[in-house]
Amino acid sequence: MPVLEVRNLVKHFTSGGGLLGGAKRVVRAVDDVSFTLSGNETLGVVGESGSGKSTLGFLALGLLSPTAGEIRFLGRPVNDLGDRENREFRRKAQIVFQNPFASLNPRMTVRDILDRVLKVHGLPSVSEDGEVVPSLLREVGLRPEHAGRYPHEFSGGQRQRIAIARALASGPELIVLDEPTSALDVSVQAQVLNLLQDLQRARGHSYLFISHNLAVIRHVSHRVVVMYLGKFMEMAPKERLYSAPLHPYTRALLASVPKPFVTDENIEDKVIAGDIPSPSAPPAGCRFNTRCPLRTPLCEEEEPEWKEVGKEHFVRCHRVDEWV
Amino acid sequence: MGDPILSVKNLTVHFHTEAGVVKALEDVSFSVGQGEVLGLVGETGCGKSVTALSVMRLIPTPPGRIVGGTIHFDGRDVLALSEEEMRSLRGKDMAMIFQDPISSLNPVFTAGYQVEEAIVTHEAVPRREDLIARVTGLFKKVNISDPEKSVRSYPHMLSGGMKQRVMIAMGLSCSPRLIIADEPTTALDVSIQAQILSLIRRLQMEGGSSVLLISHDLGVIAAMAQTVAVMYAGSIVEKTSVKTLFDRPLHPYTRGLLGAIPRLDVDQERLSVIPGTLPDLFNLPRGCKFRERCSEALPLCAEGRPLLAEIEPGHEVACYARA
Repeated sequence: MPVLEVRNLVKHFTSGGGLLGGAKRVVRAVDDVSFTLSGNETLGVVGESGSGKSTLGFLALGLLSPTAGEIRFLGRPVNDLGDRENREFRRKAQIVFQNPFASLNPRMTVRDILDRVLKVHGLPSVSEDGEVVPSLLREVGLRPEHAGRYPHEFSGGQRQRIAIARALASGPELIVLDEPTSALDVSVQAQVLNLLQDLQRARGHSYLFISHNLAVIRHVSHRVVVMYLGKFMEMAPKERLYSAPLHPYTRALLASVPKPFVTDENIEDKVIAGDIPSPSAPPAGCRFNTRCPLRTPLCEEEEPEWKEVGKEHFVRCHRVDEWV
Repeated sequence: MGDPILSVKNLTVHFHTEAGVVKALEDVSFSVGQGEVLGLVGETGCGKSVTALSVMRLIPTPPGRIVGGTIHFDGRDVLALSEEEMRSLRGKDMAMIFQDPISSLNPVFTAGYQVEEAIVTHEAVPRREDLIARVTGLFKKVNISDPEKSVRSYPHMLSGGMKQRVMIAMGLSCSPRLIIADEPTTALDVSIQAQILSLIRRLQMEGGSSVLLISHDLGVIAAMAQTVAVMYAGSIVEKTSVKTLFDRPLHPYTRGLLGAIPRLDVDQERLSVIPGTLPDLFNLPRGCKFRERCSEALPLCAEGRPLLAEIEPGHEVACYARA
């Protein structure tokens, strides 16, 4: 059974139109997306600002309620859980946020932060392997004596380890990682990414890994989905997405990342023209059409379908058959 | 290349705080040639931004203090200039582009007005029509969409990429000879980053200005710079041409940094890690500042601090294990 099944998920946010008037605007933050996530798997979600990737993570955890569509966690619909089931869902679905300076309570010691999770979920503080808190700290590469310290006594990378320990404390099956290394330096990022991979190997949980960084996503994911203005544009196993991307947006995005080595290619030749349109006024037809070098009149009128073009490889582009 | 436009020698900067003295920069030396793009790369706390601020003499004093070294811009001793002379240099001969275009622009004035202001600070432009025409022309040059309309737009009406273009237009407004760009694309999306980098590159080639480019992103450095200086904990540890740096990095820190980057083009089973953390700048270890994290440390490394030395032509490294 997959850990997470998402079908035709939609989330709209409305702004304006209230007491103060103003035109009512609808932001289609997540617009009709479907995917599954298996046990022990990492699905990477990559996209630029306004793509809806963080909203997707919040929806998956039930932190936002969807406008339409269905989310099943371990086979049960998340929108329709009884009290006990809901508690179990909260225990088994956890999150690590981007900024470990904001996500840890500065007035709580590390022990309090971790104990709180155990208490909320009614879990014992001593297991067969001994005390839980010290063993969690060891698991994330900290020392048991760190338990008495406060968050400000730690560096950014260490704080992110504490946030990871907090997510692990309840024994989750799914962890949503929302830009977990974006606030960290490269050398610290490498330590945290390695840790996340080791933990998955040891515990077998699944990750929904959200990032704007295409190289990080490649490193950690088994499958990758590319989002643009609320829509899935392409989804494929990692090897395929990076070696044979099919959507013009994916291709352009991959080309526009400056590579850490010297090439003869010019950055000028790889530019995607134009700005990212506002998510509250996305273009008609294909959402990428305003910036696409391969646009046809059809692309401006009709939304392309989400088509399976190869094994587990989905693309939303009218012209994809021309280059499959 | 002739005489360098900017020449920094043995620059040492301290910050005096209640908790003690932070040695932010120690003996930093480099020069930027005419028309050259020098990349300064390093992680948090390495001193790259303090270097840029020192060159512009924008270090807040107190708590900061330039305790040693010299900075020469176009042959003039920057540290000896009066505040008034400095003001006429800043924005005119040397311009700075900051990381965050959102907080660098004033929200209550139009984008066009703020660029006009930068021009009239340094030049007497007699007629307002000429001034507006010049700003509109600058907006066109940096590819701002609909320049006639955008000059009348307030910052919140522009996207992040457009705001950064306004900042660049402002920086270019008086045709500076040196542009200092401090993480100019870090706040931007990848696709917009590529646009801004190619814009800076084009303008630099057309105008022949020199650029001091500061970034934590080795990809950005590889795409833009001709010469690279790698900084660690307030010192330059390696300096060479961009090609040599990526083909044959010599300092253990540079090697570690390159190994820690997730790659877009190859599969990596595991990222290599630099163990440990940055040393405490209040209380630097004796000897080499990288030695506690270094796999190649020698007994000598605990004794003295290695200085930059030319190990092969055009390749300077501060490391006893390479000497």
